[in-house]
Amino acid sequence: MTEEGALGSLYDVILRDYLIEGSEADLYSALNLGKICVEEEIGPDEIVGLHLSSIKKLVNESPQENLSKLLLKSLNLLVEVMVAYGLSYREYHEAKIQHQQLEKELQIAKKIQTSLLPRQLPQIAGMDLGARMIPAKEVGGDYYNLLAFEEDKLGVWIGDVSGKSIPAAMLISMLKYALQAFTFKKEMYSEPEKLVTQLNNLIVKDINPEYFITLFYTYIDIKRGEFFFTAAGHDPVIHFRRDRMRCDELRTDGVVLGVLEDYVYEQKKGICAAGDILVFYTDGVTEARDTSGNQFGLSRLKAMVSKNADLTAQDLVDRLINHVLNHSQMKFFDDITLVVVKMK
Amino acid sequence: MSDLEKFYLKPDKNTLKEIIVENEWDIVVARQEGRELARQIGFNEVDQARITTALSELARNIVSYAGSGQIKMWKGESQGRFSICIIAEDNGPGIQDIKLALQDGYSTSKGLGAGLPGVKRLVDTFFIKSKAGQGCFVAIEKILRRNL
Repeated sequence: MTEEGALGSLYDVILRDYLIEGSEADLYSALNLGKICVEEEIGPDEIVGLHLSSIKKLVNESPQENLSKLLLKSLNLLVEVMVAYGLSYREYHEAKIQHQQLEKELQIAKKIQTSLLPRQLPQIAGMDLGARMIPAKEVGGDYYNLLAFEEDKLGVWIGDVSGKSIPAAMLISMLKYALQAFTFKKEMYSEPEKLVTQLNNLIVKDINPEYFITLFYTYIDIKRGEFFFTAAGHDPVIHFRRDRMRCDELRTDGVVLGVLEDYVYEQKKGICAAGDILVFYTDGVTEARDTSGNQFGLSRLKAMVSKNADLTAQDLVDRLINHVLNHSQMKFFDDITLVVVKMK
Repeated sequence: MSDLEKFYLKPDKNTLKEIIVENEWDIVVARQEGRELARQIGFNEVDQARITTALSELARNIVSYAGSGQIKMWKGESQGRFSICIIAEDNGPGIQDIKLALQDGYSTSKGLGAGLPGVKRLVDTFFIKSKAGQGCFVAIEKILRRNL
C-alpha cells in the first residue's frame, strides 16, 4: 500500500464502483481505506487529493454524465474515508500521548533512583572501594550504599526493588532512609540479621504486595579481619580468597523483604585477609543475555573476578561491567550494579 | 429511565432491525440497515457515516473474536430528542480486561483499527458488559442534535 500510486488506483476503483453501484460494500471499503491511512502516514490533504484526482478521471471519461449528481454522490465516499481517518487518527494520537507520558515517568523514576545512590564512596584505611550502576531504560530498581562506621568499619548493602517507574523509585527512597535511620545504633549496623529483620517488619506493613525488595547487607570489620552478612532473597556475594586463589559464594537463607512479617533472618560470619575481595552484584549482571539467550552467569563472573583480582576496586567494577555489556551486546533490560570491596 | 435501562427494555418494534453477524458480508448488511435507519431518523450524511463506522467496529469485533453474534438497532428517544440505539451481543470469549480494551492503542497493536475506544468517541452513550468466557454486550446510542 505504501507503494506510490497503489492507494490512488484503489481509490479510483472504489469510487468508480460506488458511483455505478452505490453499494454499502464500497463505503465499507472506504472506511477500511481511511483507517489504514493513519498507519501509512497519509495525511488528510493527500486523501482529498486522491478524491479529486479520481473524480477528474471519471469526469474526463464520461463528460456527458450528470456532473452535479456525480460530484455530490462522490462526497459520501469521501466523508466515509474521513470519518474513519479521524477515528484512527484520534486513537493514534491518544496512544502516542500515553506513551510519551509513560516515557517521561520512566525518566523521572530513573533520575530519582540514580540520585539516591551515594555520590562519593567513603574512605576507609585498609579498604579499597568501587561501585557503579548502569541503569536500564525500561525497568530495574537497583540500589546500593556504602557507609563508614567508627572510621574503620564498613556497611555495604545492595538491593533490587521489583516493579518499575515511580512506585519503585519511591520504594528505593524509603529503603535508603529506613536503612540510614537503622544505622544510628551500633547493635543494628554491626548485626545484619537484626537490621534486616527489623527493616522487613517496617516495610511489610506498608508495601504493596506487588512489590518486593531483595537485599544483601554486610558489615565488615577490617581490623579483626571478619565480616557478617545477611541476605534477603538476594544473589550470593562473591568472596575472592587470596590465600586459596578462588571464589566462594556467600549465602544465607532468607526470603525477600516485604513478604513475611516477623520473619527471622539468618546471619553468617566470614573471615577476610589482605588481598581478599568481596563482589556484590544484582541479577542484572548474572542474567544479562547474549544474542542466543545465554546468561552471563555466576561462574563466568567468578572466573572474571579471579582473573582480574589485581585491579583496583573501581577498575575491577568497570572491567566486569564492560564484560557484561559486551556479552549482552549493549542490550540490557535490567539495571546492572556492581560493588567491590578490596582488603588491603 | 436511565440511559442504560432503555437497552434492556423492549425496543421500538416498528423500527427494530436484527442482524446475525458471522462474516464480512454481514458487516456490510449491518451498515446498510444502520445507515437507512439513521437516515430515516434524520441524521445527516456525516452522522450517518459515524453511525455506520461505529456499527462496523462492533460487527468486526464480533466476527474477529466471537465468530458470530447479533446486532440490534432501533429508533430511540433521549431527553426529548430522537436517537439511534444499537446493541451488539455475542457469546464469544469475552473481554478479560475491559479497561485495557477501552484504552487507545490496545486494538491498533493488532492492526484492527479504531476498535472500542473509537466507537466510544463516535456516540453519546456507550455501555459494555463482558467477562472472560461469558461473551460481550455493547450498547450505544447516538442522539440527533435537533429537538423533536
